[in-house]
Amino acid sequence: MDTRFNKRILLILAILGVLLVIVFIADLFVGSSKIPATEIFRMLVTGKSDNQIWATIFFNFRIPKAITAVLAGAALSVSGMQMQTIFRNPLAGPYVLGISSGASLGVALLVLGFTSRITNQSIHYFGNWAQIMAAWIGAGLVLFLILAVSTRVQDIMTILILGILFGSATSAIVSILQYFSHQSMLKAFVIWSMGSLGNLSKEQLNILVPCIIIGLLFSFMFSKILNALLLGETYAKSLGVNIKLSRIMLFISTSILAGSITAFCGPIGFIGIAVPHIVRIIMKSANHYYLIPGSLIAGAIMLLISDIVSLLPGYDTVLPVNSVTALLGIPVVIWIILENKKISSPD
Amino acid sequence: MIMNMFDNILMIEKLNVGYGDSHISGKLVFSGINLRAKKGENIAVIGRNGIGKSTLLRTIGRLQKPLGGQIQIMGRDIRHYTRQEFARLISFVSTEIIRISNLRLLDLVAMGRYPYTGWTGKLDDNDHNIINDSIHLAGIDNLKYKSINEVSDGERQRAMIARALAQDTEIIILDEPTAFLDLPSKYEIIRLLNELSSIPRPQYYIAGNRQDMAYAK
Repeated sequence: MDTRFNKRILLILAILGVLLVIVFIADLFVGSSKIPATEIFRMLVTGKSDNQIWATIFFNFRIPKAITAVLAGAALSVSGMQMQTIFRNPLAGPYVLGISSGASLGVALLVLGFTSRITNQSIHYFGNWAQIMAAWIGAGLVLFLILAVSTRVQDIMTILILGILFGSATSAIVSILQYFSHQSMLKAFVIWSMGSLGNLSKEQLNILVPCIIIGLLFSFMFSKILNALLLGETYAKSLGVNIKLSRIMLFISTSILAGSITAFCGPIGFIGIAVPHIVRIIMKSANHYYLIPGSLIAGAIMLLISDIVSLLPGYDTVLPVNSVTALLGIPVVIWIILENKKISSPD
Repeated sequence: MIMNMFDNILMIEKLNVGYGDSHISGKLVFSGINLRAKKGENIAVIGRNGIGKSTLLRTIGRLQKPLGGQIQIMGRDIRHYTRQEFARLISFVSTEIIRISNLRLLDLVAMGRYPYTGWTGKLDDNDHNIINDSIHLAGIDNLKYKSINEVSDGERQRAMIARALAQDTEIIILDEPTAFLDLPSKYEIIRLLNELSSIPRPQYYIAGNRQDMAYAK
Protein backbone atom coordinates (compact mmCIF):
# COMPACT_ATOMS: atom_id res chain seq x y z
CA MET A 1 0.00 0.00 0.00
CA ASP A 2 2.83 2.36 0.76
CA THR A 3 4.46 1.78 -2.61
CA ARG A 4 1.09 2.57 -4.13
CA PHE A 5 1.08 5.83 -2.15
CA ASN A 6 4.53 6.74 -3.46
CA LYS A 7 3.54 5.79 -7.00
CA ARG A 8 0.48 8.02 -6.78
CA ILE A 9 2.65 10.96 -5.71
CA LEU A 10 5.13 10.37 -8.51
CA LEU A 11 2.20 10.22 -10.92
CA ILE A 12 0.91 13.56 -9.60
CA LEU A 13 4.35 15.10 -10.04
CA ALA A 14 4.54 13.75 -13.59
CA ILE A 15 1.08 15.12 -14.45
CA LEU A 16 2.02 18.50 -12.97
CA GLY A 17 5.20 18.45 -15.04
CA VAL A 18 3.29 17.80 -18.26
CA LEU A 19 0.78 20.53 -17.35
CA LEU A 20 3.65 22.94 -16.75
CA VAL A 21 5.02 22.32 -20.26
CA ILE A 22 1.55 22.80 -21.80
CA VAL A 23 0.85 26.03 -19.89
CA PHE A 24 4.36 27.35 -20.60
CA ILE A 25 3.85 26.87 -24.34
CA ALA A 26 0.31 28.30 -24.15
CA ASP A 27 1.74 31.40 -22.46
CA LEU A 28 4.04 31.93 -25.45
CA PHE A 29 1.03 32.11 -27.78
CA VAL A 30 -0.67 35.01 -26.04
CA GLY A 31 0.41 38.63 -25.92
CA SER A 32 -0.75 42.11 -26.81
CA SER A 33 0.73 41.91 -30.30
CA LYS A 34 -0.74 39.28 -32.56
CA ILE A 35 1.62 36.67 -33.96
CA PRO A 36 0.09 33.83 -35.99
CA ALA A 37 0.11 30.49 -34.21
CA THR A 38 1.86 28.75 -37.09
CA GLU A 39 4.67 31.30 -36.88
CA ILE A 40 5.07 30.69 -33.13
CA PHE A 41 5.27 26.96 -33.76
CA ARG A 42 7.96 27.53 -36.34
CA MET A 43 9.94 29.79 -34.00
CA LEU A 44 9.60 27.23 -31.20
CA VAL A 45 10.92 24.42 -33.37
CA THR A 46 13.47 26.15 -35.60
CA GLY A 47 14.36 29.11 -33.39
CA LYS A 48 14.07 31.47 -36.35
CA SER A 49 11.51 33.65 -38.11
CA ASP A 50 11.43 35.57 -41.38
CA ASN A 51 9.63 38.42 -39.67
CA GLN A 52 12.22 40.33 -37.60
CA ILE A 53 9.62 42.10 -35.43
CA TRP A 54 7.88 38.85 -34.50
CA ALA A 55 11.21 37.24 -33.71
CA THR A 56 12.14 40.15 -31.44
CA ILE A 57 8.83 40.02 -29.61
CA PHE A 58 8.99 36.25 -29.24
CA PHE A 59 12.60 35.85 -28.15
CA ASN A 60 13.14 39.09 -26.26
CA PHE A 61 9.76 39.47 -24.57
CA ARG A 62 7.56 36.40 -24.51
CA ILE A 63 10.17 33.78 -23.64
CA PRO A 64 11.83 35.85 -20.87
CA LYS A 65 8.37 36.68 -19.50
CA ALA A 66 7.32 33.02 -19.42
CA ILE A 67 10.62 32.10 -17.73
CA THR A 68 10.06 34.87 -15.19
CA ALA A 69 6.56 33.53 -14.51
CA VAL A 70 7.98 30.05 -13.86
CA LEU A 71 10.67 31.41 -11.52
CA ALA A 72 8.30 33.73 -9.66
CA GLY A 73 5.54 31.14 -9.27
CA ALA A 74 7.99 28.49 -8.06
CA ALA A 75 9.81 30.86 -5.68
CA LEU A 76 6.68 32.35 -4.11
CA SER A 77 4.96 28.98 -3.61
CA VAL A 78 8.00 27.32 -2.11
CA SER A 79 8.62 30.27 0.22
CA GLY A 80 4.94 30.12 1.21
CA MET A 81 5.23 26.40 1.93
CA GLN A 82 8.30 26.97 4.10
CA MET A 83 6.63 29.76 6.05
CA GLN A 84 3.47 27.76 6.66
CA THR A 85 5.63 25.03 8.19
CA ILE A 86 7.92 27.33 10.20
CA PHE A 87 5.01 29.29 11.65
CA ARG A 88 2.78 26.20 11.78
CA ASN A 89 0.19 28.49 10.29
CA PRO A 90 -1.98 27.59 7.30
CA LEU A 91 -2.39 31.26 6.40
CA ALA A 92 1.27 32.21 6.35
CA GLY A 93 2.74 33.40 3.09
CA PRO A 94 5.18 36.03 1.88
CA TYR A 95 2.42 38.49 0.99
CA VAL A 96 0.05 38.14 3.95
CA LEU A 97 2.79 38.24 6.57
CA GLY A 98 4.21 41.43 5.14
CA ILE A 99 7.42 39.93 3.71
CA SER A 100 6.63 41.33 0.27
CA SER A 101 5.84 44.70 1.87
CA GLY A 102 9.21 44.60 3.61
CA ALA A 103 10.87 43.93 0.29
CA SER A 104 8.83 46.79 -1.24
CA LEU A 105 10.07 49.13 1.47
CA GLY A 106 13.65 48.18 0.68
CA VAL A 107 13.09 48.83 -3.02
CA ALA A 108 11.15 52.06 -2.32
CA LEU A 109 13.95 53.40 -0.15
CA LEU A 110 16.37 52.66 -2.95
CA VAL A 111 14.29 53.82 -5.93
CA LEU A 112 12.63 56.84 -4.34
CA GLY A 113 15.15 57.78 -1.72
CA PHE A 114 18.62 57.25 -3.13
CA THR A 115 18.65 56.76 -6.87
CA SER A 116 18.07 60.44 -7.52
CA ARG A 117 21.57 60.97 -6.15
CA ILE A 118 23.17 58.32 -8.32
CA THR A 119 23.76 58.90 -12.02
CA ASN A 120 21.83 56.79 -14.45
CA GLN A 121 24.87 54.97 -15.79
CA SER A 122 26.05 53.77 -12.42
CA ILE A 123 22.70 52.23 -11.47
CA HIS A 124 22.45 50.36 -14.74
CA TYR A 125 24.22 47.20 -13.63
CA PHE A 126 25.05 47.89 -10.03
CA GLY A 127 21.45 49.04 -9.60
CA ASN A 128 20.03 45.58 -10.24
CA TRP A 129 22.07 44.10 -7.45
CA ALA A 130 21.28 47.04 -5.18
CA GLN A 131 17.59 46.56 -5.88
CA ILE A 132 17.63 42.84 -5.15
CA MET A 133 19.71 43.30 -1.99
CA ALA A 134 17.46 46.08 -0.75
CA ALA A 135 14.53 43.69 -1.19
CA TRP A 136 16.34 40.87 0.65
CA ILE A 137 17.14 43.13 3.58
CA GLY A 138 13.58 44.48 3.73
CA ALA A 139 12.10 40.98 3.56
CA GLY A 140 14.56 39.64 6.13
CA LEU A 141 13.81 42.45 8.58
CA VAL A 142 10.06 41.83 8.52
CA LEU A 143 10.64 38.07 8.89
CA PHE A 144 12.78 38.56 11.98
CA LEU A 145 10.22 40.93 13.49
CA ILE A 146 7.49 38.34 12.98
CA LEU A 147 9.68 35.58 14.39
CA ALA A 148 10.53 37.68 17.45
CA VAL A 149 6.81 38.13 18.07
CA SER A 150 5.90 34.51 17.34
CA THR A 151 8.22 33.24 20.07
CA ARG A 152 6.23 35.27 22.62
CA VAL A 153 2.73 34.92 21.21
CA GLN A 154 1.46 31.44 20.44
CA ASP A 155 -1.93 32.35 19.01
CA ILE A 156 -1.85 32.00 15.26
CA MET A 157 -4.39 34.70 14.52
CA THR A 158 -2.47 37.23 16.63
CA ILE A 159 0.72 36.58 14.68
CA LEU A 160 -1.19 36.91 11.45
CA ILE A 161 -2.76 40.21 12.48
CA LEU A 162 0.65 41.51 13.57
CA GLY A 163 2.04 40.47 10.19
CA ILE A 164 -0.69 42.45 8.47
CA LEU A 165 0.10 45.42 10.73
CA PHE A 166 3.81 45.21 9.89
CA GLY A 167 2.79 45.15 6.26
CA SER A 168 0.58 48.21 6.72
CA ALA A 169 3.32 50.07 8.57
CA THR A 170 5.83 49.44 5.80
CA SER A 171 3.21 50.45 3.22
CA ALA A 172 2.67 53.69 5.16
CA ILE A 173 6.39 54.46 5.04
CA VAL A 174 6.35 53.69 1.33
CA SER A 175 3.46 56.17 0.89
CA ILE A 176 5.42 58.89 2.69
CA LEU A 177 8.39 58.21 0.41
CA GLN A 178 6.10 58.43 -2.60
CA TYR A 179 4.71 61.75 -1.39
CA PHE A 180 8.13 63.33 -1.29
CA SER A 181 9.61 61.78 -4.39
CA HIS A 182 10.09 63.08 -7.89
CA GLN A 183 7.35 62.51 -10.45
CA SER A 184 9.34 60.32 -12.83
CA MET A 185 10.64 58.13 -10.02
CA LEU A 186 7.14 57.89 -8.63
CA LYS A 187 5.67 56.61 -11.88
CA ALA A 188 8.39 53.96 -12.17
CA PHE A 189 7.70 52.87 -8.61
CA VAL A 190 3.91 52.72 -8.97
CA ILE A 191 4.19 50.60 -12.10
CA TRP A 192 6.64 48.32 -10.27
CA SER A 193 4.24 47.98 -7.33
CA MET A 194 1.45 46.68 -9.59
CA GLY A 195 3.53 43.64 -10.31
CA SER A 196 4.75 42.69 -13.72
CA LEU A 197 6.46 39.67 -15.19
CA GLY A 198 7.34 41.27 -18.49
CA ASN A 199 9.59 44.17 -17.52
CA LEU A 200 12.73 42.22 -16.80
CA SER A 201 15.86 42.99 -18.74
CA LYS A 202 18.29 40.23 -19.76
CA GLU A 203 20.67 41.40 -17.05
CA GLN A 204 17.96 41.19 -14.41
CA LEU A 205 17.00 37.71 -15.56
CA ASN A 206 20.65 36.71 -15.37
CA ILE A 207 20.66 37.75 -11.73
CA LEU A 208 17.25 36.30 -10.92
CA VAL A 209 17.88 32.78 -12.26
CA PRO A 210 20.87 31.92 -10.02
CA CYS A 211 19.26 33.59 -6.97
CA ILE A 212 16.08 31.55 -7.31
CA ILE A 213 17.98 28.33 -7.99
CA ILE A 214 20.05 28.89 -4.84
CA GLY A 215 16.92 29.66 -2.81
CA LEU A 216 15.17 26.54 -4.08
CA LEU A 217 18.23 24.37 -3.44
CA PHE A 218 18.20 25.58 0.17
CA SER A 219 14.60 24.50 0.36
CA PHE A 220 15.29 21.02 -0.98
CA MET A 221 18.21 20.59 1.40
CA PHE A 222 16.04 21.57 4.35
CA SER A 223 13.15 19.24 3.53
CA LYS A 224 14.13 16.85 6.31
CA ILE A 225 14.26 19.68 8.85
CA LEU A 226 10.94 21.09 7.60
CA ASN A 227 9.37 17.67 8.18
CA ALA A 228 10.62 17.65 11.76
CA LEU A 229 9.50 21.26 12.33
CA LEU A 230 5.93 20.21 11.48
CA LEU A 231 5.77 18.67 14.96
CA GLY A 232 6.73 21.93 16.63
CA GLU A 233 9.84 23.16 18.36
CA THR A 234 9.92 20.72 21.30
CA TYR A 235 9.64 17.60 19.18
CA ALA A 236 12.00 18.93 16.52
CA LYS A 237 14.59 19.66 19.20
CA SER A 238 14.20 16.20 20.73
CA LEU A 239 14.85 14.73 17.27
CA GLY A 240 18.18 16.56 17.16
CA VAL A 241 17.27 19.58 15.03
CA ASN A 242 19.33 22.70 15.60
CA ILE A 243 16.35 25.03 15.83
CA LYS A 244 18.16 28.37 15.76
CA LEU A 245 20.40 27.51 12.83
CA SER A 246 17.59 25.95 10.78
CA ARG A 247 15.35 28.96 11.35
CA ILE A 248 18.07 31.35 10.22
CA MET A 249 18.82 29.25 7.14
CA LEU A 250 15.14 28.93 6.24
CA PHE A 251 14.65 32.66 6.73
CA ILE A 252 17.58 33.39 4.46
CA SER A 253 16.08 31.07 1.86
CA THR A 254 12.61 32.68 2.20
CA SER A 255 14.09 36.18 1.99
CA ILE A 256 16.08 35.27 -1.12
CA LEU A 257 13.07 33.66 -2.81
CA ALA A 258 10.36 36.19 -1.93
CA GLY A 259 12.73 39.18 -1.91
CA SER A 260 14.31 38.51 -5.33
CA ILE A 261 10.94 38.11 -7.01
CA THR A 262 9.53 41.21 -5.31
CA ALA A 263 12.59 43.21 -6.32
CA PHE A 264 12.12 42.63 -10.05
CA CYS A 265 8.45 41.72 -10.48
CA GLY A 266 6.85 43.79 -7.74
CA PRO A 267 4.73 42.36 -4.94
CA ILE A 268 2.73 39.40 -6.27
CA GLY A 269 0.18 38.19 -3.76
CA PHE A 270 -1.66 35.02 -2.78
CA ILE A 271 0.35 32.55 -4.89
CA GLY A 272 2.40 31.88 -1.76
CA ILE A 273 -0.61 30.98 0.38
CA ALA A 274 -2.89 29.29 -2.10
CA VAL A 275 -0.54 26.98 -4.00
CA PRO A 276 0.92 25.05 -1.01
CA HIS A 277 -2.63 24.24 0.11
CA ILE A 278 -3.71 23.06 -3.29
CA VAL A 279 -0.60 20.86 -3.42
CA ARG A 280 -1.24 19.38 0.04
CA ILE A 281 -4.80 18.55 -0.93
CA ILE A 282 -3.82 16.93 -4.22
CA MET A 283 -0.90 14.98 -2.75
CA LYS A 284 -2.56 14.07 0.57
CA SER A 285 0.86 14.14 2.19
CA ALA A 286 2.71 16.26 4.74
CA ASN A 287 6.14 15.16 3.54
CA HIS A 288 8.24 18.07 2.26
CA TYR A 289 10.23 15.80 -0.03
CA TYR A 290 7.05 15.66 -2.11
CA LEU A 291 5.48 19.00 -1.21
CA ILE A 292 8.45 21.21 -2.16
CA PRO A 293 8.77 19.93 -5.75
CA GLY A 294 4.96 19.86 -5.96
CA SER A 295 4.72 23.52 -4.88
CA LEU A 296 7.52 24.47 -7.20
CA ILE A 297 5.76 23.07 -10.28
CA ALA A 298 2.21 24.00 -9.25
CA GLY A 299 3.31 27.57 -8.43
CA ALA A 300 4.86 27.95 -11.86
CA ILE A 301 1.66 26.63 -13.48
CA MET A 302 -0.52 28.95 -11.38
CA LEU A 303 1.45 32.07 -12.27
CA LEU A 304 1.60 31.15 -15.96
CA ILE A 305 -2.20 30.78 -15.92
CA SER A 306 -2.49 34.14 -14.11
CA ASP A 307 -0.30 35.68 -16.78
CA ILE A 308 -2.44 34.25 -19.59
CA VAL A 309 -5.59 35.56 -17.86
CA SER A 310 -4.01 38.99 -17.30
CA LEU A 311 -3.35 39.31 -21.02
CA LEU A 312 -7.08 38.89 -21.64
CA PRO A 313 -6.67 36.87 -24.84
CA GLY A 314 -8.66 38.58 -27.58
CA TYR A 315 -8.41 42.06 -26.06
CA ASP A 316 -5.71 44.70 -26.36
CA THR A 317 -5.54 45.68 -22.68
CA VAL A 318 -3.31 43.98 -20.11
CA LEU A 319 -4.27 43.67 -16.44
CA PRO A 320 -1.70 43.97 -13.65
CA VAL A 321 -0.75 40.37 -12.79
CA ASN A 322 -1.03 41.22 -9.09
CA SER A 323 -4.80 41.72 -9.42
CA VAL A 324 -5.22 38.43 -11.25
CA THR A 325 -3.32 36.39 -8.65
CA ALA A 326 -5.40 38.07 -5.94
CA LEU A 327 -8.68 37.23 -7.68
CA LEU A 328 -7.57 33.62 -8.25
CA GLY A 329 -5.95 33.19 -4.82
CA ILE A 330 -8.41 34.86 -2.46
CA PRO A 331 -11.20 32.27 -2.97
CA VAL A 332 -8.69 29.58 -1.94
CA VAL A 333 -7.76 31.56 1.19
CA ILE A 334 -11.42 32.07 2.11
CA TRP A 335 -11.95 28.36 1.68
CA ILE A 336 -8.97 27.59 3.98
CA ILE A 337 -10.44 29.83 6.68
CA LEU A 338 -13.87 28.21 6.40
CA GLU A 339 -12.35 24.71 6.45
CA ASN A 340 -10.17 25.42 9.49
CA LYS A 341 -12.58 27.11 11.84
CA LYS A 342 -10.37 25.96 14.68
CA ILE A 343 -7.35 27.89 13.41
CA SER A 344 -7.65 30.69 15.94
CA SER A 345 -8.14 28.53 19.02
CA PRO A 346 -4.82 27.63 20.62
CA ASP A 347 -4.54 24.02 21.74
CA MET B 1 32.39 -1.19 27.87
CA ILE B 2 32.00 -2.36 31.44
CA MET B 3 28.48 -3.34 32.43
CA ASN B 4 28.60 -1.64 35.85
CA MET B 5 28.99 1.68 34.20
CA PHE B 6 25.67 1.25 32.47
CA ASP B 7 23.98 -0.03 35.59
CA ASN B 8 22.96 3.49 36.38
CA ILE B 9 21.86 4.66 33.00
CA LEU B 10 20.72 7.99 34.36
CA MET B 11 22.37 9.74 37.26
CA ILE B 12 21.21 13.10 38.56
CA GLU B 13 23.11 14.89 41.30
CA LYS B 14 22.17 18.05 43.19
CA LEU B 15 20.19 19.23 40.20
CA ASN B 16 18.47 22.61 40.33
CA VAL B 17 15.80 23.20 37.71
CA GLY B 18 13.99 26.34 36.68
CA TYR B 19 13.76 28.97 34.02
CA GLY B 20 16.38 31.34 32.71
CA ASP B 21 19.93 30.84 31.56
CA SER B 22 22.23 31.83 34.37
CA HIS B 23 22.56 30.62 37.94
CA ILE B 24 21.92 34.12 39.23
CA SER B 25 19.05 35.53 37.20
CA GLY B 26 17.17 32.26 36.63
CA LYS B 27 13.91 31.47 38.42
CA LEU B 28 14.49 28.40 40.54
CA VAL B 29 11.58 25.95 40.58
CA PHE B 30 12.99 22.92 42.38
CA SER B 31 16.44 22.28 43.80
CA GLY B 32 18.64 19.49 45.09
CA ILE B 33 17.24 16.67 42.99
CA ASN B 34 19.10 13.34 43.17
CA LEU B 35 18.10 10.37 41.07
CA ARG B 36 19.59 7.10 39.88
CA ALA B 37 17.88 4.97 37.28
CA LYS B 38 18.66 1.52 35.94
CA LYS B 39 17.80 -0.09 32.63
CA GLY B 40 14.26 -1.39 32.34
CA GLU B 41 13.00 0.78 35.15
CA ASN B 42 9.70 2.56 34.91
CA ILE B 43 9.87 5.75 36.90
CA ALA B 44 6.99 8.06 37.71
CA VAL B 45 7.47 11.63 38.80
CA ILE B 46 4.62 12.53 41.09
CA GLY B 47 3.68 15.89 42.51
CA ARG B 48 1.28 18.77 42.58
CA ASN B 49 0.78 21.14 39.70
CA GLY B 50 3.52 23.74 39.35
CA ILE B 51 6.02 21.89 41.50
CA GLY B 52 8.40 21.46 38.57
CA LYS B 53 7.74 17.98 37.14
CA SER B 54 7.71 19.17 33.54
CA THR B 55 10.65 21.45 34.20
CA LEU B 56 12.66 18.51 35.52
CA LEU B 57 11.72 16.30 32.56
CA ARG B 58 12.50 19.04 30.06
CA THR B 59 15.85 19.63 31.76
CA ILE B 60 16.75 15.95 31.53
CA GLY B 61 15.70 16.03 27.85
CA ARG B 62 18.01 19.03 27.29
CA LEU B 63 15.01 21.10 26.21
CA GLN B 64 16.00 23.65 28.85
CA LYS B 65 19.17 24.32 30.77
CA PRO B 66 19.79 23.21 34.35
CA LEU B 67 20.39 25.96 36.91
CA GLY B 68 22.94 23.84 38.73
CA GLY B 69 24.03 20.30 39.48
CA GLN B 70 24.71 17.47 37.07
CA ILE B 71 22.89 15.08 34.80
CA GLN B 72 24.76 12.07 33.48
CA ILE B 73 23.53 9.55 30.97
CA MET B 74 25.61 6.40 30.41
CA GLY B 75 28.24 7.93 32.66
CA ARG B 76 28.65 11.08 30.61
CA ASP B 77 27.46 14.60 31.25
CA ILE B 78 24.52 15.34 28.96
CA ARG B 79 26.07 18.65 27.87
CA HIS B 80 28.89 16.73 26.21
CA TYR B 81 26.72 14.87 23.72
CA THR B 82 26.17 16.24 20.23
CA ARG B 83 22.59 16.92 19.12
CA GLN B 84 22.49 13.74 17.08
CA GLU B 85 24.04 11.57 19.79
CA PHE B 86 21.59 12.95 22.31
CA ALA B 87 18.60 12.37 20.03
CA ARG B 88 19.67 8.70 19.94
CA LEU B 89 19.68 8.60 23.76
CA ILE B 90 16.45 10.32 24.77
CA SER B 91 13.11 10.65 23.06
CA PHE B 92 10.29 12.82 24.24
CA VAL B 93 6.51 12.57 24.30
CA SER B 94 4.57 15.61 25.48
CA THR B 95 0.94 16.56 25.96
CA GLU B 96 1.04 18.88 22.98
CA ILE B 97 -1.66 17.93 20.51
CA ILE B 98 -0.28 17.48 17.04
CA ARG B 99 -2.95 18.26 14.49
CA ILE B 100 -1.45 18.28 11.03
CA SER B 101 -3.68 17.51 8.10
CA ASN B 102 -2.42 14.81 5.74
CA LEU B 103 0.26 13.57 8.15
CA ARG B 104 -0.19 9.82 8.17
CA LEU B 105 0.58 7.91 11.36
CA LEU B 106 3.18 5.90 9.43
CA ASP B 107 5.01 9.09 8.42
CA LEU B 108 4.75 10.45 11.95
CA VAL B 109 6.36 7.30 13.39
CA ALA B 110 8.98 7.42 10.62
CA MET B 111 10.05 10.82 11.93
CA GLY B 112 11.52 8.95 14.89
CA ARG B 113 14.27 7.78 12.54
CA TYR B 114 15.38 11.41 12.06
CA PRO B 115 18.63 11.10 14.07
CA TYR B 116 19.69 8.06 12.01
CA THR B 117 19.10 9.20 8.44
CA GLY B 118 21.19 11.44 6.19
CA TRP B 119 20.12 14.82 4.89
CA THR B 120 17.92 13.19 2.25
CA GLY B 121 15.97 11.47 5.02
CA LYS B 122 16.04 8.20 3.09
CA LEU B 123 14.97 5.18 5.13
CA ASP B 124 16.70 1.84 4.64
CA ASP B 125 15.29 -1.65 5.32
CA ASN B 126 16.44 -1.55 8.91
CA ASP B 127 14.64 1.76 9.45
CA HIS B 128 11.45 0.34 7.90
CA ASN B 129 11.65 -2.72 10.16
CA ILE B 130 12.05 -0.58 13.27
CA ILE B 131 9.16 1.67 12.20
CA ASN B 132 6.86 -1.31 11.62
CA ASP B 133 7.89 -2.94 14.92
CA SER B 134 7.19 0.30 16.77
CA ILE B 135 3.78 0.63 15.15
CA HIS B 136 3.01 -2.96 16.06
CA LEU B 137 4.14 -2.53 19.68
CA ALA B 138 1.97 0.54 20.06
CA GLY B 139 -0.96 -1.43 18.65
CA ILE B 140 -1.82 0.90 15.81
CA ASP B 141 -1.15 -1.41 12.81
CA ASN B 142 -4.65 -0.91 11.45
CA LEU B 143 -4.36 2.88 11.64
CA LYS B 144 -0.98 3.47 10.05
CA TYR B 145 -2.30 4.87 6.78
CA LYS B 146 -4.73 7.18 8.55
CA SER B 147 -4.07 10.87 8.92
CA ILE B 148 -3.21 12.14 12.42
CA ASN B 149 -6.27 14.40 12.50
CA GLU B 150 -8.62 11.52 11.71
CA VAL B 151 -7.83 9.39 14.79
CA SER B 152 -8.91 9.71 18.42
CA ASP B 153 -6.79 11.44 21.09
CA GLY B 154 -5.79 8.09 22.58
CA GLU B 155 -4.78 6.69 19.21
CA ARG B 156 -2.77 9.80 18.44
CA GLN B 157 -0.92 9.45 21.74
CA ARG B 158 -0.15 5.82 20.88
CA ALA B 159 1.31 7.05 17.61
CA MET B 160 3.45 9.59 19.47
CA ILE B 161 4.72 6.77 21.69
CA ALA B 162 5.41 4.64 18.59
CA ARG B 163 7.40 7.56 17.19
CA ALA B 164 9.46 7.66 20.41
CA LEU B 165 10.00 3.88 20.14
CA ALA B 166 11.17 4.25 16.54
CA GLN B 167 13.73 6.76 17.77
CA ASP B 168 15.28 3.70 19.48
CA THR B 169 16.60 5.54 22.53
CA GLU B 170 17.87 4.42 25.92
CA ILE B 171 15.32 6.61 27.66
CA ILE B 172 11.84 7.79 26.78
CA ILE B 173 10.56 10.80 28.65
CA LEU B 174 6.81 11.18 28.74
CA ASP B 175 5.51 14.46 30.07
CA GLU B 176 1.91 13.90 31.17
CA PRO B 177 1.30 11.41 28.38
CA THR B 178 -2.31 10.85 29.35
CA ALA B 179 -3.49 14.40 29.95
CA PHE B 180 -6.61 15.26 27.93
CA LEU B 181 -7.44 11.56 27.51
CA ASP B 182 -10.62 9.97 28.80
CA LEU B 183 -10.41 7.35 31.53
CA PRO B 184 -10.27 4.20 29.35
CA SER B 185 -7.64 5.77 27.09
CA LYS B 186 -5.56 6.82 30.10
CA TYR B 187 -5.69 3.26 31.36
CA GLU B 188 -4.73 1.83 27.98
CA ILE B 189 -1.75 4.16 27.57
CA ILE B 190 -0.42 3.31 31.03
CA ARG B 191 -0.90 -0.39 30.34
CA LEU B 192 0.93 0.01 27.05
CA LEU B 193 3.84 1.71 28.82
CA ASN B 194 4.03 -1.08 31.39
CA GLU B 195 4.02 -3.70 28.63
CA LEU B 196 6.75 -1.87 26.78
CA SER B 197 9.07 -1.75 29.77
CA SER B 198 8.82 -5.51 30.20
CA ILE B 199 10.00 -6.34 26.69
CA PRO B 200 13.73 -6.63 26.01
CA ARG B 201 14.28 -3.14 24.69
CA PRO B 202 16.71 -0.83 26.35
CA GLN B 203 14.32 1.89 27.41
CA TYR B 204 12.87 2.90 30.64
CA TYR B 205 10.28 5.53 31.05
CA ILE B 206 9.77 8.64 33.01
CA ALA B 207 6.21 9.78 33.15
CA GLY B 208 4.98 12.81 34.95
CA ASN B 209 1.40 12.95 36.14
CA ARG B 210 0.09 11.88 39.50
CA GLN B 211 -3.35 10.82 38.26
CA ASP B 212 -1.81 8.49 35.72
CA MET B 213 -0.06 6.54 38.37
CA ALA B 214 -3.25 6.10 40.33
CA TYR B 215 -4.77 4.40 37.29
CA ALA B 216 -1.63 2.43 36.59
CA LYS B 217 -2.04 0.51 39.84
